Amino acid sequence: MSNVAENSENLLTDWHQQAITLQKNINQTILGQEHIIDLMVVAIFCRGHILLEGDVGVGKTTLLRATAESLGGNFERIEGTIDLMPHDLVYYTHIANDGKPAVSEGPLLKHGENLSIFFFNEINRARPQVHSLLLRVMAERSVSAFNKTFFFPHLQVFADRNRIEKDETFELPAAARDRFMMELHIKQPTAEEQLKELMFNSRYYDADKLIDSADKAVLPFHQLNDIAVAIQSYIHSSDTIQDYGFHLCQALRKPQDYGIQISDIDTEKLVLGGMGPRGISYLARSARAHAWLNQRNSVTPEDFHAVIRAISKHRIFINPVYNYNGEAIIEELISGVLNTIPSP
Amino acid sequence: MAINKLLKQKMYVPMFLAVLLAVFCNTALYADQVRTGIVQQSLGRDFGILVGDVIEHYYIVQVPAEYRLTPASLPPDGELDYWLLLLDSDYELISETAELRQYRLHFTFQTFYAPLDVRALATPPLTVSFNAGDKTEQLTIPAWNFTMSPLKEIAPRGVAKDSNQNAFMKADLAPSTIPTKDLQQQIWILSIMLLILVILWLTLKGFLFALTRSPFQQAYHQVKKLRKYHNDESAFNQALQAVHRAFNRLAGHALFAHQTDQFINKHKEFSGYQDQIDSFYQLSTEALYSEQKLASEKDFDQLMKLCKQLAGAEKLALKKS
Repeated sequence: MSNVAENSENLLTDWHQQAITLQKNINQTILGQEHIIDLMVVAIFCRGHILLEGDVGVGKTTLLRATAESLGGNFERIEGTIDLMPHDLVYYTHIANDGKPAVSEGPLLKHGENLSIFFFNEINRARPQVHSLLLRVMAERSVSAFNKTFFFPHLQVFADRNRIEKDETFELPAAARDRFMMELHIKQPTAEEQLKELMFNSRYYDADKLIDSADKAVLPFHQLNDIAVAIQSYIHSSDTIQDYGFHLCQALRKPQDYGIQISDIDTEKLVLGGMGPRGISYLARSARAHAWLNQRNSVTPEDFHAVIRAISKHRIFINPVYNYNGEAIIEELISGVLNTIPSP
Repeated sequence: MAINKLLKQKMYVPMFLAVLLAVFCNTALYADQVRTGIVQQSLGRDFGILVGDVIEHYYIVQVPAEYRLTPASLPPDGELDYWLLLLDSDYELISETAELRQYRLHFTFQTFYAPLDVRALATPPLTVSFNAGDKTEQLTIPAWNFTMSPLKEIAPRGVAKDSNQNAFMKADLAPSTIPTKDLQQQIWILSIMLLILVILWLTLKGFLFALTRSPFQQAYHQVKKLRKYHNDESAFNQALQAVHRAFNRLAGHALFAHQTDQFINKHKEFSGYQDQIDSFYQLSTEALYSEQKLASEKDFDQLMKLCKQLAGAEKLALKKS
């Protein structure tokens, strides 16, 4: 083994330990969301943006805050409201100490290149103009203001929305959803013990205190980009697994070509689009990161199985006639694909 | 007397001249105004018409010379009533003078009315149009009354008797069929021969036995064949693939390493071989995904042993059930 390979293997082993620490730290704060936290850690090590969706009061915001605090770096948060405009993210005007009007940098620009997490709470309450600005920030990690371009190389966007309320909300456009690496659906814990713990343990009553009680900045956030590149180059993808990943994506786009049957659904007319180049690249990247987190140096079908729902569910656009039960149909489609495509 | 006669004659001359002038004027007026109408018709007999008969009507009609028949005004072919069909309507210009034009109209009907006794029926009136610039003249072919007769024997042997032989109405004739018995026999013989040949071919090729074999038995034979090429890297991959196919077939879906527990829960007969199954998936991961495994004859033997064990377990489970 060459020195370079040995060094990168050692580096990845060290980082694996840190990733486990991060995972434990978040798990100590948030109860009963182990699978979601696993996926969030995968997204962090792929440098992908995350959108959380779930019922009211299941702990979406607390989970994102806990993750942001554990990651370290500069953290900014903004609440999505109907009157929020793009410039509110970039600057704000106020009366300065000298009594004169002044313009100051808004939450996006305040920390410059050191901005690590931008947390957008209730994203679907903001108008499409704001989504549009966010599209650029997420895709290019930059924004233009005051006649120059600001870059955020370490930025990761966390956003959440609740799925119950639909009044005065703006559905995220397909392009915006596609820029989120993962869309995670949070459900409340089902285990009796965990529910009793959440109900009677006073530790979980105050979210601020709960987050403060956990360790902060357990990772050197400014090294995450490099480690993400190292993971992608170190974890091996054999020809067999590449074939498998390719056919999974193809089957999600053209289920009829793979003989996938869904009851009462004409699969030929089901899928309108989705899993484009960005989606398939995210799938491969997250499969590699998942393999690394599970201490394997090559991707296996299990890695695809672990991440495929979080990566593909919000990227599959189905025929509007099936929208009445869209979520269940997409879920069935993904299960059908996983059960049908063999490997090898 | 003679004078009186002469005077009388003198009085008649102007009267004769006036009558002559009136006749002449009337003729000239008639010549100017040709009336549109039917001048001749041939309708055939209006009785004794039976179900299915074709009725042909010819009309010669005349119109003033400036008028021309509008072909689109001829009634279209098709059903005129539930029992009457217009098979065809046609026209022909037969003469043309400075004053008038004459057309021959031809209508072919077919009646499907099946009366049980003599019935009076009528074809509907038909209208044909003639145009001269902006002017239109319409000619109505009047309804045609006729009687239809039932299909009966001319000299009935019995009236209202039940017996077929003496029934008032004769039974319908059975249609004559084309004899196909010989052809059917030939087709049967050829089909059986073809089936025998297909079964023979499947048996010789071994496909028929493969269908009845357990998936692991099939995999065993495939691995055994591939063992000869153990030095070829792809042979081992193919052998692994054969065993994976056997697992997938038995599970009813693509089976992966992390699903083996569920598989064994469902197929209790393999519960004694959990370690061997896990080892197989481990071996497969090393060879196909990590690509860190160089295959040897021993690996082929291990695969064959696993296939044999699992086929045996399956057979035993089948016997017990």
